[in-house]
Amino acid sequence: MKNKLQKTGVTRRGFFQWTLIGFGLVASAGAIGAIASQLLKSLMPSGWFSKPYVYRKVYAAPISEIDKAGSSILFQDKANHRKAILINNGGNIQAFSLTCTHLGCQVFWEKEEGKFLCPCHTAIFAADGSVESGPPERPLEQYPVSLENGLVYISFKEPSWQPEQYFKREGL
Amino acid sequence: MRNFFKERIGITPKELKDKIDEKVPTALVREFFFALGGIPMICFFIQFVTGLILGVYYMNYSGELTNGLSATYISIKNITYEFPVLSYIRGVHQLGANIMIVSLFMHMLRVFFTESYRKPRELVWVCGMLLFFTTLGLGFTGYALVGDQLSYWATQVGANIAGATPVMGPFIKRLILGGTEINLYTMPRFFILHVMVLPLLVLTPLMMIHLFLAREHGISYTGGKEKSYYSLVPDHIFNEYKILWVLICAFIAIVYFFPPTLGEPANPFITPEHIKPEWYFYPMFHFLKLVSFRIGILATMGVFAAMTLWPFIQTIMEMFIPYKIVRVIAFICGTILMIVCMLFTILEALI
Repeated sequence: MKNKLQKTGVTRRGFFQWTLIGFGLVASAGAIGAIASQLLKSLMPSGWFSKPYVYRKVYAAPISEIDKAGSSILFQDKANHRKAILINNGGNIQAFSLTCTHLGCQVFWEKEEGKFLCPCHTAIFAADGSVESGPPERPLEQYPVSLENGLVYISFKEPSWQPEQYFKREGL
Repeated sequence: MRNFFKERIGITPKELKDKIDEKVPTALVREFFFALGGIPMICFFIQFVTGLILGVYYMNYSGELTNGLSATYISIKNITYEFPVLSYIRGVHQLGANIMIVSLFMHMLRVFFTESYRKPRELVWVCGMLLFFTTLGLGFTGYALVGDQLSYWATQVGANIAGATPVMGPFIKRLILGGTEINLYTMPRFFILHVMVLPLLVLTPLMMIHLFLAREHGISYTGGKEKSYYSLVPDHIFNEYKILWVLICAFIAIVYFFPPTLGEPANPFITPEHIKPEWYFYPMFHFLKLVSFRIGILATMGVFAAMTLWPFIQTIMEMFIPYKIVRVIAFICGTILMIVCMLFTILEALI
């Protein structure tokens, strides 16, 4: 054994030194990784992979305002900066988000043409939310609509974590 | 005096001068196109000083106050309209950013078309491209801090572009926004990126590496066989110093006639009808209108990657194709990219 070690030029002292250095490097890499992941986690207040959205039901309008085919109502939910449009598409009441699925600009509802136009990259969506032209690949997001006692409710999809709450409760 | 420095820091001023001095071709004084790289650096210095002063007055709360405006917007409004000197400083800061990018474009064009990126200067080019992207990032994070409509929607679009990056996109988006959407913690992140991360932790080290590498290989003057030289210290540095003053005077004069303005306050419910980013993003902005989302993002990233790695791509091409043809290909690619960018910029400006 000794001869073998001597042949390879590795002494017992050297072997233990390198083993210790190896352990030290692995341990410090682990510690650095753990600290770095915690630092990065601190920069991700909404979590790494946590479910980012929840639904919140908001009263939008009485059914009498939207019961005619082709009628529409714009609705702003100031609490979470959400804007939606309620459209009666041939008796079917639908709610669409007005956020363009391309890069997040707010689309305009052109009532006379029955189309949504995006001012940023000139996308056009049809009244049923589907893409008519332009760069978006997905239709406008649809929010669930529910009818209760003649009142229309929209279930807005919003982030589960909103920092505004911490400021609002302090009166800001 | 010499001994004072020698004994304390181990080097005399004369020795220091000899150490950092180098020969600069005299032709650079006549053909300034070959020394354009100095202007972005001078602009960075101006940006640094004006940015420091603006930072003192800047407030970083994007939530609505009782009057419906954000503290950010009010602070920029005060800087722009209430304090006369500050409005100059903001104007110079804004103009400096634009001139920094213009001079970077010119510098890049000169380096590309004179093929100064060839061996052994490939890494100088790569480093320069990274500097270019960092400067664009600084421009972007800078106007995202203003708190007006352009600022808000630029943040929105920029974050979604970052979010479309393959694999890491959603993670990057959440990291820069501080959540899944723009929120109160978004602006401080952009502020830190703009004043600390990009200028001090990214741009400054990159600039030092760029300068170090450029010094290592010497200035690539290809205008002819230059035999006469002058010294970097103090002659060339004095020339740059003169340019600094020319720029400062020009900036002040321009800002006098075109004072900085401020748009409508940010409104998350309405995207303005004719919204556009700053002019240096026009080519990308226009391109994104023409093609589908994924193609737009991937093609832009592909072009950026090809631009950054061009010296190596050219070297690989030269293994298979004769040198002269590769030069023509490089020239054609550069010209096409330049013309397309100019065309998109003009088209976007006319809309």
